[in-house]
Amino acid sequence: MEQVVMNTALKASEPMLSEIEHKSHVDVKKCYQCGTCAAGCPVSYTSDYSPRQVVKMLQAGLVDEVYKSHMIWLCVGCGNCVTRCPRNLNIPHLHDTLRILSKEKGYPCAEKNVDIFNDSFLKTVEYTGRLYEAGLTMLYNTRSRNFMAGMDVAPGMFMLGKISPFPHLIKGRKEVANIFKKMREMKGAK
Amino acid sequence: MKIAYYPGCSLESTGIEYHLSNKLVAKKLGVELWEIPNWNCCGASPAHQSDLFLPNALNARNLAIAEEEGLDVLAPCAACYNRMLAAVEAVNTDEDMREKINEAIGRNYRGTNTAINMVQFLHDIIGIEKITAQIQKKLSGLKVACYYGCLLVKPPALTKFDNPENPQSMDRIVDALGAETIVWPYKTECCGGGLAISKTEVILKLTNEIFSMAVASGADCLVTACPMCQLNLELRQKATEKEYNVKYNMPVFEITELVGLSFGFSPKELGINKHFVNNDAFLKEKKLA
Repeated sequence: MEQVVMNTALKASEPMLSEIEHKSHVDVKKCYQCGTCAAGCPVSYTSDYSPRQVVKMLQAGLVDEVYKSHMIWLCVGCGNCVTRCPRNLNIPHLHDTLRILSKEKGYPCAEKNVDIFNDSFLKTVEYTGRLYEAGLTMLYNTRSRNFMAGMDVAPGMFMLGKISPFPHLIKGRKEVANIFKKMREMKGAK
Repeated sequence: MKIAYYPGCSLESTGIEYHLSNKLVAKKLGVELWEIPNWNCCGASPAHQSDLFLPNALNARNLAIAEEEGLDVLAPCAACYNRMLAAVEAVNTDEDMREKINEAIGRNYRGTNTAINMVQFLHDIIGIEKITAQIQKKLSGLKVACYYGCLLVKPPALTKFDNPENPQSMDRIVDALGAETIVWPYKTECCGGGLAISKTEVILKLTNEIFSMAVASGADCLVTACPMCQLNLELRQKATEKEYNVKYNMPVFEITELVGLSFGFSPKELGINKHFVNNDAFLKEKKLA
């Protein structure tokens, strides 16, 4: 991490912090750093920062560092932390909000494959109305350059008749596409 | 009794056996499952990780179609269930969000119905007594670790269902079927589902912990109420065994598969022959096939 001057970092980060708190409805000042979230987090072991550290960094005004961190992309949203938090902080929702804001602001994504997976998944939903597994695999594998991802399990899937090579096109596709259109309009309006 | 049914994408593909079992079990219990016509994907993790509006709008469309019929929605997938509840909550607490959602979906969703998970449906709505009345075959000899996973019970402020750390309702159902439920501490630990493709190594670690604890606690199989958990635990089991140099070969069932077996349906009718962990020998040994 680069060197930061704490008192100026805190002051400079105030507008960004209030945006995060406003959008996530999570007041990071309430956290007293007990670490219960970190103890129960299933992905902490593979992350640069634990959920507790993410909150501490926000308290200290290190917003840039948080936006670039792995944790906000690794969080699986299992809810262990929010279930056990003595201050009732909805940390998974905070991570979601941080991920969304970091992307909007153009920060480099620390876990590119997670981002590519999410994007590929939603593309298939936007165009067909439902998840299209074969399409997701093709999109994800080519965009992430993991050409063999899932290929160890794909033959079994086809053999058991579980995955179809074709998409399931629903009749309400236009309505679903409209939801995505509205989302983009709202993002543009900001 | 009639209830709206939202299979979700998994139940039409990787979790087809859960779909088949749900339909057979519901019919036997005298429940009409009204499948939401032209339902769309709930957006799963990718939607809520990408936008604050998108997941709520995607779920509100499905909920609105059921609301027009005056029905609550049975969502057998724990992830769909959780996302639906979040949409119901958003519509009821955020006026601005509700207006934008209704504009986008072209419907007037008022948030008067809710989502119900499969265990809740069997335990709270149908009730153990009515289930017991249909039993034709006791599942004695099975040692079952009930694996609720995370999204069925967490976060409790959203799900308001059972206990988030040591839930009991699925155990009570399995007990009633005549199987033995084991006491174990990983009932609601996460299997890592959302990272299955983009960070598979995380899944191997988490599922290894779940299986090793289940074995240490004396279980010979797992039962879930979520197609994501079931898929993750079976599909990656071989890779987990290889990575950690262990042998589990442990079948993972859906709750309605076990209920269906005890109701006298054959494994084939229930789709149990479509599992990634072959369970022929297991079911024969337990005299269930």
